[in-house]
Amino acid sequence: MGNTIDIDVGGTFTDCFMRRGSQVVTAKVPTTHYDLSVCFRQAIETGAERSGVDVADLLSDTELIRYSTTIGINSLIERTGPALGLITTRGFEDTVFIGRSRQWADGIPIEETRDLSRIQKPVPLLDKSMVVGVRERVDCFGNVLMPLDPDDVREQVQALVDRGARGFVVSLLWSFLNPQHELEILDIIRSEYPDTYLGNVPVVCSHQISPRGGEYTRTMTAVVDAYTHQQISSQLWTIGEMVRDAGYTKPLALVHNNGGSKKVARTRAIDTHGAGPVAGVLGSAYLARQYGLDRVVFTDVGGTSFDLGVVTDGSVSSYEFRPVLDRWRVQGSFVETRSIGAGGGSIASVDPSLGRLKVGPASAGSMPGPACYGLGGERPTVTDADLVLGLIDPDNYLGGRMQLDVEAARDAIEADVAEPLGITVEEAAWQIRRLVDATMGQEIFKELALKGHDPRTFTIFAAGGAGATHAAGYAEAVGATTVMTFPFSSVFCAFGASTTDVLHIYERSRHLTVTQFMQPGFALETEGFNAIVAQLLDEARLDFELEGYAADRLHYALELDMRYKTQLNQTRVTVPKPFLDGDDDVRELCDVFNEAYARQYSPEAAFPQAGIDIEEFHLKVWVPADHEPAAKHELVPGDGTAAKTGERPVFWGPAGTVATSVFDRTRLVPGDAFAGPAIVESDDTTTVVPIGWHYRIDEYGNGVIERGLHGDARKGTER
Amino acid sequence: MSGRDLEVITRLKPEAWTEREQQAAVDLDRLELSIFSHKLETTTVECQELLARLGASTGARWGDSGFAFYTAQGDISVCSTGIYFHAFLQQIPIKYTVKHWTNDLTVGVEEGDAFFSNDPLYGGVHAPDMTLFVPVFVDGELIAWTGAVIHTGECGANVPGGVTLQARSRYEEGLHIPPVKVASKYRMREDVLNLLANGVRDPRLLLLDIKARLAACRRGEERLKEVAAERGADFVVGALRTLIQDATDAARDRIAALPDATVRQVAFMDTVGTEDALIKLDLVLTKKGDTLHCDLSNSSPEVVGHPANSFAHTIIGKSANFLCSYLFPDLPINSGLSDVTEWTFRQGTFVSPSPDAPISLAPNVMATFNLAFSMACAKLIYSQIPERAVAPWFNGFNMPVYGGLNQWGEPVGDIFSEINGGGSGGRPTSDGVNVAGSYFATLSDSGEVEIIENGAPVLYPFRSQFLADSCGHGRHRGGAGMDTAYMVHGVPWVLLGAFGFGSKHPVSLGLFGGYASASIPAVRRSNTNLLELMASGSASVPTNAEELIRGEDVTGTVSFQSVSAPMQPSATGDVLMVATGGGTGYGDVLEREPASIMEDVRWGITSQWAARELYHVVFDPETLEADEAGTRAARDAVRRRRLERGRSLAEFEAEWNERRPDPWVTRYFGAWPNPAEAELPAPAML
Repeated sequence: MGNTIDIDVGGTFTDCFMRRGSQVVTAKVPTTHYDLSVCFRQAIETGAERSGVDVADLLSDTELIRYSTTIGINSLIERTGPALGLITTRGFEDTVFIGRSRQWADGIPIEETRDLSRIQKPVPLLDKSMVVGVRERVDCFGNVLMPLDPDDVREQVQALVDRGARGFVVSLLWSFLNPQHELEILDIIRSEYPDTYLGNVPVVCSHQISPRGGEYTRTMTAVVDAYTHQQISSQLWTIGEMVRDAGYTKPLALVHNNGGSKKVARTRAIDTHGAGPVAGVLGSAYLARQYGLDRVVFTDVGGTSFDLGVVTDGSVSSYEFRPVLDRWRVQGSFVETRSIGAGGGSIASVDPSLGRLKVGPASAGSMPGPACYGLGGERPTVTDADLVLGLIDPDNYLGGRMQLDVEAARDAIEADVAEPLGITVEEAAWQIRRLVDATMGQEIFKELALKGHDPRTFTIFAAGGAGATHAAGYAEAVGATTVMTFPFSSVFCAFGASTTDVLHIYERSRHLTVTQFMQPGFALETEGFNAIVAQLLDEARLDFELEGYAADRLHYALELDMRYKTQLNQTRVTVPKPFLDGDDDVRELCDVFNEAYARQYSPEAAFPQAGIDIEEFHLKVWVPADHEPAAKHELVPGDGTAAKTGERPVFWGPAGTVATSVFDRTRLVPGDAFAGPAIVESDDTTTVVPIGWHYRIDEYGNGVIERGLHGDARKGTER
Repeated sequence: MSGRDLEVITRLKPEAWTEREQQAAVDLDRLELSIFSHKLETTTVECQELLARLGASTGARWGDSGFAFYTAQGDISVCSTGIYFHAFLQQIPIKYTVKHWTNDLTVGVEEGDAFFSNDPLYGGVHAPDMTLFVPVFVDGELIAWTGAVIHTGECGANVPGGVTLQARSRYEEGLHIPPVKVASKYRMREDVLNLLANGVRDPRLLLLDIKARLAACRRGEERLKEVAAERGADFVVGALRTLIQDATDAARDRIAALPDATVRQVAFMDTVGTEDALIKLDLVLTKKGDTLHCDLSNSSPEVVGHPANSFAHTIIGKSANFLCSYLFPDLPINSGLSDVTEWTFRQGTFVSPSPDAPISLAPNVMATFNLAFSMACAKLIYSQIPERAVAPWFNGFNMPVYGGLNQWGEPVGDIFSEINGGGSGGRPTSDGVNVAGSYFATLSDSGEVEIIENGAPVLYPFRSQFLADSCGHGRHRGGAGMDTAYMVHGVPWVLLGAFGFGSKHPVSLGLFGGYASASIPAVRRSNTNLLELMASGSASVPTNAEELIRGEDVTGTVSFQSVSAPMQPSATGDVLMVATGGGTGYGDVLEREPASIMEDVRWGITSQWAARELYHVVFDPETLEADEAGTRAARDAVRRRRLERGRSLAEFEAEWNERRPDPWVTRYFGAWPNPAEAELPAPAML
């Protein structure tokens, strides 16, 4: 792979990760929400400056620019999408408003769902008048019970046009099983309203965007796609023009939330939502493979949120169980990431009823931010606690770019926590830190445990501005013993984007019975099964061919969503063989499912006699990117003395105040190792090595924090 | 044999601290307690999620489930967001097991055991609400319990689907399992599973749900043991009990801050299952000091020979609904919250019937109580915390039920998830939420048509329009309900029925002058030609209940029934309509903004009739533009008429007390108007 540029737009900062030969350059610029092409350009300019080339030279010899963006989700949150018309089966016009009843709870934290006197459903993405029903009906067998009437369709579509529709979503019941009526409507719209009349308005058919069962979630997938399409495509067009004008000749690629990346032209809006944290998970998978680690949890601690994702056996292991974009439940194989309201800006308080300390989910955000920022924040935050404890240097925060006010932090903690609890300010700061670390750690624990893993066996990758500051703390709560930090930790998601393969997942819902309740033998008709797989393969080959990849470069994996009969929820398994030939293959498929189920949910939970169904097919197809292997360095045993910049008093809770060594991260070299308590400072983050933990720089130049006895620095991390 | 224990069944409040608990709680670190409580709360989310992922019945799939941690004595300490009363009631079978099986040589309670129970006399609600709980041992000491409840929609009653309207005694209500060991040494007992499966029509459902509960309980057990391994058993024992005490203390403080008062609230049930009849629940709520005393003794007598009864413990458990979701939404969910309540029942009433009484419609009785309790509390707290004094959610069930073979030839029997399509009540500053869920299940889900049609032998002619005027009107109206119909499809026949109440008398009343939610019947249209009409592409295929009922091109007979509609065989083309009701109104209709009313008309939530006749808005029926001045004048006239109708209290009472319904309507009511004034009928075993 030649030179690459990867850019990740986040809520506060836009990160850039450039690989030029063996040189790696990172850059971080503030996100310009008014126009994301501005921060995109600034990120490239900053990167060019740091690598000592001008932008035109940089771009002309860049092989690939990849981008993960939040444009789409912003237009959802801000409701800036176009007026859409939804065409659906008559009698089901209110499906998107009903929203499975619990729409009010989708996309908000569980703790906010308890107070029933305050619940609200989100403001809908389209008005009631923009939903029309057409006469038609298909049943669960895919049979047409009621034919589509073209005149009826024309009349309804015209009504939407008259009401100002600037885009159409067509979503009919059972269209994933029999798309005939959706396709007829598409034809009618195209022939009645040629582009010259309506301009380039999107017409999105639900079965094309997501051929899966569940009309609310499928419809919302199509609606969200259409709603965000225009804003995404116009922004990408601007960015594309900009980089082309500056000398870039290759296509722009986008990171997808399914764990790959594809060219802009081959990307649907829905694929891009939430790609940032997903890129972080992919980067973790890449590094896990490099290190030979089979269990890794990616964590990213920012100002307001804590994100995490799971990597097992060197790859992304799970997809969202109930994907939600903003407040809308959708369908799709989105790499699973979790986000909770805990970060440097989380506010600490004492619950007046219970007399117990609380941290978060309320956050001071970046404005006004923690009390110590001196920007008007008066409530104590996690960052204030870190500062009071002595973990953060007020004169060297963000490389000295921001001066912190220790007194303001102390005052805030004193007033809101120390005094109500009757403890010292230092003790209060310590408790805030303990509690937020435990909260994050227990969240990690739950997510890993829910997937059937032993969380204590995981290595924690710490990313984000405050990741390395708290990782050892939340590792304690998980029971994990190893934390890894990276020089590019603060631009980790952009790094992650640089590791993505070209990938797409082709999906289909089909209800197939594999075995019957309490009956021996197999009920699966393998011809039908194989025909679906063949169809998906054809679709994939054509799609990749259009992107310029020959069939012989493609890699495949077939995954199925299976369940015991009458269960609603499905368990995804990777199928040993794509095509089934005879009972032995079917038996193997059942074994794979039963074993996966027992592993994930305990052997007592498995119930093979219930009968087994297949509900969904997912064909994952990818072209692996060839990545430059990371450079390995010789380990020179050392204790970091050369990098030590001094000592400062830090309050370590029960151990009291201890003079703690401070090191400059940039001057540490592979092989350096020392025991905690210690602090390692770099421009963009502060790594905290608590008492009872050790720190070392490994052969790849990454920082490893380990619990317990002093590791052998020469050993390296590789297994 | 230990048999029924009517002492244990009353023990829903926290047990007194044991010496062990007291010692363990000495020097408990408050910060560690916070971390512990967060750990257990995230674990309950994990376990609740397992129930949804692994369970098979509608209840598990769409949110009718609960999970909690209990102390060794059986007190609930940490509970998931979901159905609180299930988790609260589960204390009883656990306490029963502690009392009777711990020292029984033939049973015993050991590490690796799991117990199953669904008998209302042992703490359940009704037979389909099934529970499973496991003991947590550390170093041979029982330190806690974990427990999970799911409504499993088939329990072997005299009709499929779990809820029988026809039961004359408890012996027609299906499986009744007192706490019984279903697993030992971490293995399920196949003989016991066989026994349970043998009694129901859809064993898959029963067994998958049992396995789901067990997986959730085991997960909780594992987590608690991890904490104990790290921090010691003492910490766990002390912390579980302290969390309860914290809630008790905080709840008492909150109650003490309210003014002392007595609030009376009646609520009515209009069916005994298969017959319409009026039954009264009379609540006198007295707030004094730091307790809420509920006196229900003036309620109607036990309904003999019909399942419209519910045991007192279910009523007490039901109070958790309002306490957790409205009154104390920021306090821990545990039995400490129940500590502020005191109860008086009169034995022999329908809220405290004889042990052999049939009770499968207990949910109706509990809903009636919930209505009275939430309205009384709203009135009590209004002066102090008005934002929590909200109008009631749709308190009914309107729960369609099916049973038979599905289109894939598999035995099925369950409820439809549209039970979770009710609207929430109006609030001091905003309307209720349209189609918000079930009032009793915080995170319930009404599902998706394609998913339901994939497993049940029905075709939905429509499920879309909010039912016009289903909500209670008011200054802030209730959220709208949902309009649904089921047509038998893909099979020659299936049993269809419905469960609920309120077709004659509203199930939910408005607050502070707001209207009640609409009374909704079940409607059957048999022998329809809907399939033919659809095949012909006819424009007269109905798309809502009104069109289906009135449609002239639709053939077949229409019959209106109570929503408490016994199951009956229904053939291909037969249609059952069961709409879900809306939330109730808050405040005077005349204070609602005309523009909001017109918006509701446009959305189909309010009919033009209601806009005109109830809200007294003057508007153009074509453009739906309101005439502000005209409306003001019309409303002034209404206010004048109201004043003209006004009379003194004495005059009003004199006339009002003369009135009474036809005696037939009150045949199960007891003494009119005060059931407490007469002897109660002797209980009968049928």
